[in-house]
Amino acid sequence: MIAITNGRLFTISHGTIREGTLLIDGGRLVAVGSGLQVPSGVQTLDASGCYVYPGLVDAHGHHGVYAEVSGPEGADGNEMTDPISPQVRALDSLNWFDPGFDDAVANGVTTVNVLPGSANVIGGQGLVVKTWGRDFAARILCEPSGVKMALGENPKRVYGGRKKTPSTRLGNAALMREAFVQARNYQRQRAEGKGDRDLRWEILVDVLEGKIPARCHAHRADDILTALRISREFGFSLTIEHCTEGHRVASQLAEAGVMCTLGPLLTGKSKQELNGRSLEAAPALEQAGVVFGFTTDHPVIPTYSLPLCAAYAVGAGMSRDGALRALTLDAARVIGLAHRLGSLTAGKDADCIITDGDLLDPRSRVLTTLIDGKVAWSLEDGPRI
Amino acid sequence: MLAIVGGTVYSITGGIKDQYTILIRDGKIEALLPPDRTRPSADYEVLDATGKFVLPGLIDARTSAGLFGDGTGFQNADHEELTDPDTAWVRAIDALNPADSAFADARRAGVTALLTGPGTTNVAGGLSAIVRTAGDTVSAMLVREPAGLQIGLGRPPVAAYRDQKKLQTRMGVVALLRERLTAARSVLGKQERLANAAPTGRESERDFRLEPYAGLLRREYPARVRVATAEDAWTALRLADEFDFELVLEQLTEGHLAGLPEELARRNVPCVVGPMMKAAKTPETRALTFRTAATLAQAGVPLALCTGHPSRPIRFLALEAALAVRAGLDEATALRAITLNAAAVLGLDEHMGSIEPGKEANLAVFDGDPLLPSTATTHTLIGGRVVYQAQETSDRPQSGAQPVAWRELPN
Repeated sequence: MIAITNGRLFTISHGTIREGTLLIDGGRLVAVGSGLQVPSGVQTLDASGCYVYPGLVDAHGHHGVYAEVSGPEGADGNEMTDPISPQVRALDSLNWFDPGFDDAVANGVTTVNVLPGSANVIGGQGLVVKTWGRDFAARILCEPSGVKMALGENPKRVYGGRKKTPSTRLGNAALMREAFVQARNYQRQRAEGKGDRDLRWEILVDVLEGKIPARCHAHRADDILTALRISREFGFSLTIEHCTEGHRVASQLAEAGVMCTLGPLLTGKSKQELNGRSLEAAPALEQAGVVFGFTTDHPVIPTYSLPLCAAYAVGAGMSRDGALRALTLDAARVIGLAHRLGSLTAGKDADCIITDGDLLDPRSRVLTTLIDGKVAWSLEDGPRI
Repeated sequence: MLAIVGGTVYSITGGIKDQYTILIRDGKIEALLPPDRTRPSADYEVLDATGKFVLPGLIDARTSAGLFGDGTGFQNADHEELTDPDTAWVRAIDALNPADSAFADARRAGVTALLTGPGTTNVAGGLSAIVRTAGDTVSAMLVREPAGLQIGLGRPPVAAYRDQKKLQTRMGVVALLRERLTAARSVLGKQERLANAAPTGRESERDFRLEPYAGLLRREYPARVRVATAEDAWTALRLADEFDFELVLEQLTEGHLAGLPEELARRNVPCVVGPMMKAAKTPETRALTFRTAATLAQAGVPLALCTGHPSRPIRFLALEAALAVRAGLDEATALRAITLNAAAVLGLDEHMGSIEPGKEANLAVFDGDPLLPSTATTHTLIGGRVVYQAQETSDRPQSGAQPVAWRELPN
């Protein structure tokens, strides 16, 4: 058992406790509150004067599949040989020794949804991992966590340059639609006991049957609407990844009940589909009632900048509570793990961070990160920023 | 004539002054008055900065702002002439678009001046320029041109030209520079001999593509050399010794390593560190850390920070400073690195970068701590003229409120 005492607890689920205690046992939070009795002989972390938050959740990152320091040789997130590649799995590219994981845990990010890139219309399967631990199998919370898809500029740039479909947004949508028609055919054949296994269509059948969501890269408002249209046509569940112009279609997203990742907010407008980027997307989505988590798209922006995205969103008018939720509980909802992650609530995974100041102040430092109730990193190990 | 009253003034050179009045006349700072002095005469228009923080306009010491068209894809990607590793002879002013949203973003972030130059992929990218961030035309914005010859060492030029077999190694990169500088030196020698010879009425032939190098050798402007690794930084120092040009180092990912802090301090080489808010994607940037800034400053190196816009968007200049503070840089030095020291790196510290009488009235007014992301700029002034003003200066966006609408003042 471990106790974290006297910290200001941002529980996310039930407000802030000015001076509270966390009790951790067996990798889980067992009690959260003020005036809790700490059993004698228990290892205690004194968080006096410090802030305690749930571990941060990045609902869309490329840790391990675009390993830091490795350059093009370590870029394993896009299998750019077929625009329809649902059968590939990020797990099979994942370099557990990517320093990006160390940077994540040292700066409070405890869980990441690792997705393939967006070069393909259907890019493959993601997985949710914790950012620390030598038992790699135990770090996987969910695999597959969804099928990555992409609309907009990236697929048409990659394949259009080779005079291959897709070279336009027409082609993007048509290929996506065709793949789901194929998957429906396959589903029927298999139900009738016909045909051989086909890994491409098998995973899309899981999407069609609602076992996992499609996670579709869409920056521009019309690309977001195309994703909504196709998901409605085939009846699969969907998240919008990036959602850069989400403020333009916030009511449609809210109406569809579609959750999003938002970001990365702190990059340049390096391509046209980013021209509509504004920090105001965050308050607009919040106001419309769209559930979203921030994304760094690591390594597009570094993994440690996750809370900075929330800080700038607050500057643009988002509520502080909403911004903190989008770093934790709402991000956990986007990846379907809110029952385990995202708040300081008894019964949840003991993933939490102790900081020396407000998480939304870039000068604040993470002092200690706990994952599954164990000290995964402490500032004494040396800062990683 | 304008008086900014009631604000907390970060003068940079004279500390933080509470409720001081800044008098502005003819585009310059006329005086900085303590609170007990008599109020400014009625001739002065008054800008009430009570409860706000007034800083010198921020200065970004390295960008490609206005050269790379934000959000327009390839249509306006005019920041790098990637046809040859040596394009020393291209000039930033010929691609600079004053209407690019980078400048509106800059004004909104309180950035009033910047260096903009060709990107860092080419060994010699071209001649950069220093501009103020408001104006309808390049000439209206221009402060100084050429501001320097932009040079890049290390892997980026090799990666870009490897397939064309134009460059394969670091040796090749440096040899190319040495060859051009040597050629420029002999052209200068020839010109000098001609000038000293009996007048013949003959003008010496110009070599257009070597002229930017000749400018370096005549010390008309510095070489602004991008280096990532420590070995490349030492190479830049060696070349500067060999050809006796003025040197500014940029990026400096490994500036904290290999004895560089002491050596750079000893030589007083100005350093523009950053942008640092990036993931260390390549082996060349493996040592990337915000501690570089603190280590160099503590050794006494003249330190400026930058965004490298569009590498990091210009509105996040203060964030580079804030994160350097997290990594150990003291706040005063961090603010200096985006104001007075940035001006010094651009050779403009007599005119900009602090709130002192006689300096250009380039100012930024913030509604909170300038290093906090939630702080908004309420006013940006260039030459005493308001070039940006938040529409609602009194009402901060409330929780769940409508997105704040902003208004740009006409130039």
